[in-house]
Amino acid sequence: MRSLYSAASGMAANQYKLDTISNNMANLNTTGYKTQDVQFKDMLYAQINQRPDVTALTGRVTGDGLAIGHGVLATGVSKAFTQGSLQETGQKLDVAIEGDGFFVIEPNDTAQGLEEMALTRDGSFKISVDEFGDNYLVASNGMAVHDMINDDRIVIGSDIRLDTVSINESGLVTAKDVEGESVELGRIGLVKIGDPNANLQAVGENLYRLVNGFNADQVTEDLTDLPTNERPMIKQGFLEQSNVDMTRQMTDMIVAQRAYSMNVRALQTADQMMGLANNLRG
Amino acid sequence: MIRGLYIASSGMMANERAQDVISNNIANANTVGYKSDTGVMRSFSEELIYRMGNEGGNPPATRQVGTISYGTVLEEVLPRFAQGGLTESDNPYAHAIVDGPVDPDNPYRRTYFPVQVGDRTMYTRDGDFRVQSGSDLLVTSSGDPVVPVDATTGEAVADARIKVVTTDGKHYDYEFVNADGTNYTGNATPQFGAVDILDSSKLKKYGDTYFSGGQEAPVNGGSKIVAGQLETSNVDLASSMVSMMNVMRSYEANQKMIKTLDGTLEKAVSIGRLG
Repeated sequence: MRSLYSAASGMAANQYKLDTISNNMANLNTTGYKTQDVQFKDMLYAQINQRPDVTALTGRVTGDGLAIGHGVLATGVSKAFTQGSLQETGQKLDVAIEGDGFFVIEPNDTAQGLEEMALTRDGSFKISVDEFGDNYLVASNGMAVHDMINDDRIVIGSDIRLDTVSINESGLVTAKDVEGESVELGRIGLVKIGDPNANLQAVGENLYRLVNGFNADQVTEDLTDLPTNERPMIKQGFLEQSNVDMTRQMTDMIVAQRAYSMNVRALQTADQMMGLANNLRG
Repeated sequence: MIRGLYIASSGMMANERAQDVISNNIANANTVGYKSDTGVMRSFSEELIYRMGNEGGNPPATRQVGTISYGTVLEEVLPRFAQGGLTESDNPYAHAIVDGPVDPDNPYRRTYFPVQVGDRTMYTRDGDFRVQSGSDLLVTSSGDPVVPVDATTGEAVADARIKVVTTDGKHYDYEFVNADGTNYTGNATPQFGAVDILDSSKLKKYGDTYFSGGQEAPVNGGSKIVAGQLETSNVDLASSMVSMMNVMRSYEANQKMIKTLDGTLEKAVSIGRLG
């Protein structure tokens, strides 16, 4: 009986949807998180041939044969890269992006070129110290923020007064040293990715990587190539909230749960029918 | 008596298939662009029964007993092409088709997005499109390229593809290319759009919310494409539930019939039994 398997596929797909919704809800307060959504497609149809006298009956609307489906398949997960709302934190090292940009993070010391870099929307930066005692700017997971000017991490000298750090909208980090001189520390790596769903892959810890065979036309490393109204902008003292819409997630959860229980009912009905067939004798 | 056994078993078989159809609908209650199926049952044609023997008699008795049908069959599975609800989508490439009023001459005339699957053009109502990594082609969520529509004939241009060129973050333009990604060289004037299928009832469901077959025509004034929205499945869960209960009980009744007939036959068999 196909019905059993169709219902089971419906349960599996809705379970998958519920898993995604749970993940979205769990990340309601994750800085820079982007909502995920699952796509469903129906599975292939079996074409069942019929006797010619049945297909020739008057009043019949469809063509030959019966097309009977086999349930549903979750075909993919996509992310909604819409802007999350900005929350003011007052922290000097908190930055948020307005627009389609991503921060460039160096996942390790040897990363070179954008293909090896990690990208993130999470701008809650901190200062870390390496084994030589140098201070440098890191993302919240401890990986160094890429400096677009020196192609290295952003080192903050020991004579810099941290309360004077200022980050402008293109990511240029400046601060005053102990003598009151203004020092340029570097430029926070910021790139624009057009069509992030096609070109980026989420790898956890709020990070994304460029997919293999990404489209170089959609990646703009030098933002000055873009007209000013299309440039992503950095705002200091703000963090980008996750773009999860709680109401929508709750609604989706109810829909998925109800659909799940309907599939359970279909499964039970199919089971009862098989039970009846089993009891034909005795 | 034996006839009754087969009639009741045909009822069980037809209801089993109907249950398959309903289960598939329920499983696809959240599939974008899915059209729910209706199983149509029909009784086998009536057959005239003649009595054998007893030809003589005076006056000769009529030999006709009457008509009987030999059970039922799931004749066809007809998709319900009613408009599904629209829901907002965060996907910038999402589109939905809103059908216009029904054309009285072609009651099954509906609008679809044309999609190229291998060497066949198929049709879908699922406008949850993506941009393919690398090639920038507009594809469905299962990865098949969406094909443009010819501006003059209104038919799908199977040898052209739609390439998305991002102009800024939210808005984008389309370019039309050959299947290998080079600039389009064919004779048609491609544009992004949809085609009408004159008689959707002759379409065959393929899976992946695609339909195959059907005769194309230019889009009739009534239907339109809405961007940023998706058409949800048109499965009605409440009526699916009711149909399922109906199918289940009908199946049960047929099973009871078989058991009853079996019991009666048992009696007939035991007449001649000794002891």
